[in-house]
Amino acid sequence: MESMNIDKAALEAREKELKKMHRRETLHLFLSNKRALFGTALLLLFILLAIFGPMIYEYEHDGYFLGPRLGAPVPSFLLGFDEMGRDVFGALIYGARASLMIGFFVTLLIAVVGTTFGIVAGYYGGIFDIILMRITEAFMMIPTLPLMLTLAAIIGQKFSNIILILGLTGWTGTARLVRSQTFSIKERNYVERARALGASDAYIMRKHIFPNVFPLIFSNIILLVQNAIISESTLAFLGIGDPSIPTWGQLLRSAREQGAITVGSWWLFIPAGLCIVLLASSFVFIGYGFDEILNPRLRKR
Amino acid sequence: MNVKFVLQRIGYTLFMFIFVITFNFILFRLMPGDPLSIVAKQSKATPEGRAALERLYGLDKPVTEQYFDYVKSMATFDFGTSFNYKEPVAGIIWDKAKNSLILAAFSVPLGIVLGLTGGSMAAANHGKLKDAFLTSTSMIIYAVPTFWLAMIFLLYFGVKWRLVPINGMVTAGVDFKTWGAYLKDLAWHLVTPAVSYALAIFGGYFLIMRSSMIDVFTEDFVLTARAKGLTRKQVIRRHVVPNALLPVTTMVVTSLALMFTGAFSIEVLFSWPGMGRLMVDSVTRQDYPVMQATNYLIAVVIILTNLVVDLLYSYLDPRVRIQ
Amino acid sequence: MNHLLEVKDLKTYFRIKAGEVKAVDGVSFTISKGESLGLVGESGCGKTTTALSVIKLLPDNGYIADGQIIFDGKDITHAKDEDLYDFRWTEMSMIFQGAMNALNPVQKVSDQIMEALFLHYPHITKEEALAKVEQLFELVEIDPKLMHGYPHEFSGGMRQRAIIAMALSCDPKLVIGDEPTTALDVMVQAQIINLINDLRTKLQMSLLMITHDLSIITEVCDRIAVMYAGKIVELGSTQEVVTHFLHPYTEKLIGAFPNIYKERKMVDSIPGDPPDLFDPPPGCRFAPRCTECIQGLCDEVEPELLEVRPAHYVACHRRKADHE
Repeated sequence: MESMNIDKAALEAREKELKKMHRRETLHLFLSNKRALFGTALLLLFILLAIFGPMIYEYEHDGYFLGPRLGAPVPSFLLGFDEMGRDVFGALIYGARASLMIGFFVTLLIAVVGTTFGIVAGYYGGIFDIILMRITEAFMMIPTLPLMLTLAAIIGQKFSNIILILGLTGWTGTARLVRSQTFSIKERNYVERARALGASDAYIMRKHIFPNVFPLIFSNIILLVQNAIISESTLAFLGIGDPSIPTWGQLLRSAREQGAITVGSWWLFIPAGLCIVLLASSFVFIGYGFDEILNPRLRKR
Repeated sequence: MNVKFVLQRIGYTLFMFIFVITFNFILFRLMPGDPLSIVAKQSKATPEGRAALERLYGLDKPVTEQYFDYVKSMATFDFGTSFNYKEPVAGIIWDKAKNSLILAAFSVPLGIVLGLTGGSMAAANHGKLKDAFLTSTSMIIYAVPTFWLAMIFLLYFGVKWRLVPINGMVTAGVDFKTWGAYLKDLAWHLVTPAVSYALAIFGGYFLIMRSSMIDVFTEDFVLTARAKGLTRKQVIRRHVVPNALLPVTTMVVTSLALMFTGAFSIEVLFSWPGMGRLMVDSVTRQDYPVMQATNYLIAVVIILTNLVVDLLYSYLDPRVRIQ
Repeated sequence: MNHLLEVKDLKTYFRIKAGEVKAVDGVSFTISKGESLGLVGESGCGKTTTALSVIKLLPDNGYIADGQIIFDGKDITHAKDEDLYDFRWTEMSMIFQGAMNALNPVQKVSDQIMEALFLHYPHITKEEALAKVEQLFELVEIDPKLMHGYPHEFSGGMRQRAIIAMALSCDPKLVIGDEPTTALDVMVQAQIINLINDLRTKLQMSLLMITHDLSIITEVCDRIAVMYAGKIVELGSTQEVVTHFLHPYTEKLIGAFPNIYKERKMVDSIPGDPPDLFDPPPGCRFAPRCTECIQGLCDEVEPELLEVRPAHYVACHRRKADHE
């Protein structure tokens, strides 16, 4: 027993060293992955815009508007005016905030629900797992977009409700992924050891399973953000959204409704769509970049 | 294929049916803002009128009885009458589903084929400039909202250069003398929405095929095949692609299911009279019978295609067949 | 000169982002017709890279930096893929690890063997090919009735036999075995070893056996080459090396692997890790882990592979000193 204790200290030191090395290697891989790096830079740009943009640039979404309805761009209003005479450039800046909030909160919701379901199902296994997985699969059978539309018709279209709808309809894939990873992790030695030492199930799931599952689903989580942003803009385009908060999707919808395409008012939809594409693709670049970084089989040989 | 496996899958499918029906039942009846109040509001119902409506929808009966009536009407495809069209829901849906199918029949296969070929081309050139270019482009396309791309197509090809019509399935008000003239007009209207929709699903297929193939490339049997003296092309065609396609099969069949559900934003943008547009309209007009019938039918299609996927998968992948 | 394979001062490097990994760094050996050579060492010592260099199947980022590979009188060191299609499998084939996915999971085993036959004998008919597969199955002692099965329907041992059958399908002059018994249970391992031995005498097959398990080599090979960190440290006949091992690493290796046929010894694992091949240390690469290291010599001057006893080569300053 004594010799084991001595070994344990040495082992722990070595484990720490290995973890540090691993972290350094991951950082190196990240810095040499051009797409991930580019995506991160793009995302940082949008985050800065969302935080500081509204502080610097004055814009009122529901107030008194002076601009010409659907007016073309002028030097002081670079992207013209919308159907109510509002400044499109201002709406774009505020839209960054809305899109990032949607992306963040929806993903948080999905991650919490999906991870909880997945870890509990995978950890307990057996009949518990069968029931939880049947529920998950059944939810997968329900078409997402129609369900979103129906839910919006039922619970209303407040900004927080939109987040709730997107979150509650998107967790199934994550739950399945987390479950299968939990299955392999719970067989590992440290979990057995913790169990032998009398740790509670909740403790093991929190302290041993979750921290080890998380890196494996990280890139998936990042891609959920992209999905949330695109889904929100699609919903908004279909007329489901909170009119008091400007989003890029709503700009696109009102552009269509105002016939911006037929009269060629590009400023009403090209910049807003471009913003969606840039923000969404930043997450795609980061997500797939991390997939390559964390999954050695996808790396260049 | 063994009988037990087939029976098990069919039992599973029945379970899914019951779940979906129950879910819809709960969704439409027990949540706040129930359909009755929507109907009542729409018809400005008096308390007596409300009671009449309750009887009409059987809401005065106990919940269990309502549930069994509901299951029965869903199972017999009896969806009632649309508030908006004042016609039987089943007939409306059949009409719109056909239109969605026409759009999908051209765009979905195009998107899948482009995605799978592009993804395998990128994977075959993994790490080279060609791969970097194809993959980055596909990732951006993956992040583009479908309807926005279609809006740009419309602006240029429809409005500025007048090459394609900007909406509808056929030119309005024209009495087509021959089938040929009709089909020509339809095809002309179909090009832009079909290409936009194809690009919308292209990215997902590209990315999944690429990573699936890169994954298979690391398998030992690929090395065996090369050692046998197969050329690189032969290795890819005979060994890599068949194995890489397995995880993609599920996705392919699932999007074939989506052929019936309609491309929502594309149909709305192009005023294409399909299922997607019907659904969106039913939500904005609170046409409750249409809403729940479409929800149910789309789920039915997804459930059935999943059954097909399972059976097909067991045929394609010998490892599954045995279990 | 009747060497079938001659490897001269082979250097195989891998390009990685930060530079080059010298996976194989100056390896020389020969294999004569009908002879079998075992290449043994810990994982990561470069033995598989050596094999892949010889059969010309290096990963995209690996390349032969220096040296020569001469097979049957032809220099194939820098042969291109296009020149090798006819060479592969008919001249040199490889037995991969059967426990892993060495067989395509979605193709019948018979089809996978016939693929090689159709490829290299374009005029063969389907019946002839089937007959050949049947004959091969009999050779490796599997019931030919099973040949139309899929890999997952085979047990681990049967899969390994099928892979051996596939490797022999085009009557190659040299067969490379890459850990052909790893991950099989001990009984099956013994059966596969017996099979390989039988085939060797029956077919006069030349064999290059790659393994980390010394006991397998003693069963199958005429000669042993011990590899450490990209270099051969000891080379000689099996009998000679096992009984008169000279290099301290070989000694540890023999201690680390109990012979399954003999009384089990205590596993004496070697403390420390093999050196980083990205930046190998000067001098003898085993020096940091060696208990007999001569300070100022072993960690500074690289030892040469020298004939210390008749036909027994070792790269070690200490042994060289002992024998002089």
